[in-house]
Amino acid sequence: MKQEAGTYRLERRQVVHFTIGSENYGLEVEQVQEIIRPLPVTRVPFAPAFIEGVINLRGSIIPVIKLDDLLGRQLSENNGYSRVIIAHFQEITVGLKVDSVKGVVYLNIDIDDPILKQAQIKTRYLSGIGKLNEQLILLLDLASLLEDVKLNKQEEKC
Amino acid sequence: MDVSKYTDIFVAESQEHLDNLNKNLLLLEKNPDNKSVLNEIFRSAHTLKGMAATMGLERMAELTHEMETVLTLLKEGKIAVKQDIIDLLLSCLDDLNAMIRGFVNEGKEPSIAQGLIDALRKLSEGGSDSSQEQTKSSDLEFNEYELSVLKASKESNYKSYHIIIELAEGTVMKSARAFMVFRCLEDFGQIIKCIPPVQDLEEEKFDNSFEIFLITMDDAEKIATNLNNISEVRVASITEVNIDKSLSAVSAAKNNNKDDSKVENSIISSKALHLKTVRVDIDRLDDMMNLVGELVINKTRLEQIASGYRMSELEEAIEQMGRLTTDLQSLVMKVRMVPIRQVFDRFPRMVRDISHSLQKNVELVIEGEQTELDRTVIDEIGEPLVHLIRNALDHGIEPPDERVAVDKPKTALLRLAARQEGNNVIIEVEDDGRGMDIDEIRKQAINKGFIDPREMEHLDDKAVLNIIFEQGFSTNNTVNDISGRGIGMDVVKSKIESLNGTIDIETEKGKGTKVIINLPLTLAIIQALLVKVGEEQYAIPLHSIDETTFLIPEQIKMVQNHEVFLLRDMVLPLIRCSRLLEVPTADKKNSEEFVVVVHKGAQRLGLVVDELVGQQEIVIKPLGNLLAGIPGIAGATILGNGQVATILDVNSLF
Repeated sequence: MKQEAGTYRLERRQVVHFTIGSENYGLEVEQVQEIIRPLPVTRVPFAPAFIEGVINLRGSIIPVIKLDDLLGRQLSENNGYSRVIIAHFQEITVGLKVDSVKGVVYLNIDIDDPILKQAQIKTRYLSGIGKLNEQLILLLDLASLLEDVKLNKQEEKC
Repeated sequence: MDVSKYTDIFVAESQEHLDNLNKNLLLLEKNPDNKSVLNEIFRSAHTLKGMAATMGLERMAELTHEMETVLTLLKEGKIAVKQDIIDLLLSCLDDLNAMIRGFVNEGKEPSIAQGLIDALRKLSEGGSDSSQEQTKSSDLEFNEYELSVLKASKESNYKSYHIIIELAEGTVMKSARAFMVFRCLEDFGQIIKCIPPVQDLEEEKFDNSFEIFLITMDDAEKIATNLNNISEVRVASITEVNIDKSLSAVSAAKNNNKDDSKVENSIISSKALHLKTVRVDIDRLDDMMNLVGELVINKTRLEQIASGYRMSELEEAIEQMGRLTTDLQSLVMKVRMVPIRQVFDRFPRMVRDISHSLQKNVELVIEGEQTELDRTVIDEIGEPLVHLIRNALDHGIEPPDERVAVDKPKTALLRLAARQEGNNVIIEVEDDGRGMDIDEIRKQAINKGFIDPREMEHLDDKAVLNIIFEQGFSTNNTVNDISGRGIGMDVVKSKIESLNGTIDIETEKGKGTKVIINLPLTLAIIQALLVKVGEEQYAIPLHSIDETTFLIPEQIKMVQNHEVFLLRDMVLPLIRCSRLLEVPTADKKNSEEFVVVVHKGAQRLGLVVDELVGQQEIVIKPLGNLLAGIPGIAGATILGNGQVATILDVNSLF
């Protein structure tokens, strides 16, 4: 559902709203398989730098990505609210550790927002920005995120 | 009718029939008089024809039809089984194969068979002049069931008649007339056989006459009168069947076939096998395997929980469940097992063709084709074996005159054998050819720059033999279309290693070469040793472990800045797992460390670990798309406590 609003291009999307540190992020619901409490992570030797390790999700081995490192953020100390979002994109399923999951919300996402470009954050992994009440929610671009994780792997191989 | 959804079944089944045809044609070549093999061939060809027609593959149906015609002539003895006929039929199989492949890949059949169809037609026309006249009498053959009925009826004073019915020219409802004849005859007695079969009669697939065998108490005249009362029907002849003659004919044929009884048995048993099998999608088997894997993990978990409670009732129940799980697991493994016959079956033909084209006399001996391997292994093992057999035929086996010159039998022996040894399957490819010349390999290896001449002096023969597994190495100076391109052995080796197997060569100059492949029975569940490095647990596949021992600091020596460990008379390069795997150690220097001695081929090295946890059956799980292909890690497994442990890929450490 697209609307023209001034010079902004707005899209209405349903996203899972979560936090890392003080920042608010969103991931499209279509890409979220489930949300679980943190499980023990097993480190995998020789794995790409942004892979924290693997977890056992009911018998399947799922890699967990260091999302905080990729986004240049810091997870806060364990506050009892931390969760792992199991997300999938095409054939890849990954776990993303987050500080808390707030809920599922509808957002009008602006994909050309100037704030996004001005903001002092890595924009590469963000596909848009939305406003929820007075909060800004940054929409994660899972595709480019996973691509970078994979590229890193190849670099290490060479 | 939309038949596309049947394509998979069609391809699988026709492949089976083609394999069958291939095998039996080669058998027929060896025993031209064996009727049962011929019958089996005929049946397969006939089925193929039917299947092709159903799928709308007209070319294929036409070709198989012509094959069938020739086979009928062979069956009736109108033409003799000769080399050129076998050749022709075999090339038909090749074309059929190509047609099926074309059909799968492009959705329609390629039209390539005209030459063969013409050749078959020529053959059948040459032999069929007399066939039509003879058809009537030649079909007086009964199968065993029919004979036993005939015999029993004779003993209880019934008479058996052979009745030939003719329908008037231009009869419109031939099947209806036939039906009326049957109705009429059923009043008199029992019909035991009719030619053509009832089904063909119903579908009006006959000319104007058909034959019936009837068992009855009444006499011929009465039957004839009754039949002639049906309009448009005429009894052409009605004769009493001489059962004794048929019986003796059959038993004579049986005696004839006595020598071939082995062959026959194998055909009968393979047929029985067909009837008792169910086709299952391989994906479903994989799913089943996964679920059983889960069950095994949960069983281990329960055992661990129970051990903390000391409740004998609980323990008993869990023990019982453990037994069931183990049974279930071995059953699922067995379901996935396929006899290696599937792979071996294509080699007689290949060996025949290649040895013909090289003008060498080779006898292929196959042993242990009933040995079973996991489906995944079977799928992969064919290609390396093809390489090895080609190598043996091309490089190993000498031309006949050369063999005679060195007092060897003119016909060379190529042995392909499989057998199970514990949890492994051994496959051997052995020839009695010229063997490998170790000195020549040394020379070539130096000439082609594979190895430094000074280094070469230190290598023993076994190590030198391993050079032939290097990429691009070949001692054959001429390249031909069979082998010698210098690809092959390295491909063979990497393939075998990807299946967690090993490959070894034994050779003696002038005597022959033997390649020994050692494969695990299955890839999904393995025995592994669990070790601890720092706080992390790792699994090392048991099949690559030789032994474990304490690390005694006095036995560590430095060689070129590398640690080696002296164990009896061995000098083992040491790899410290904590450093290799970059384990964040808590740095509490343990007084005790262990060495796990692992091997790859003849090479050995020692892995230093902090703790040996124990031997355990583990289910190998893939790491998923994101982590696939990390060198050094073969996968992961889930331990009894639900934790994940990574499996070390020992082969990549060398």
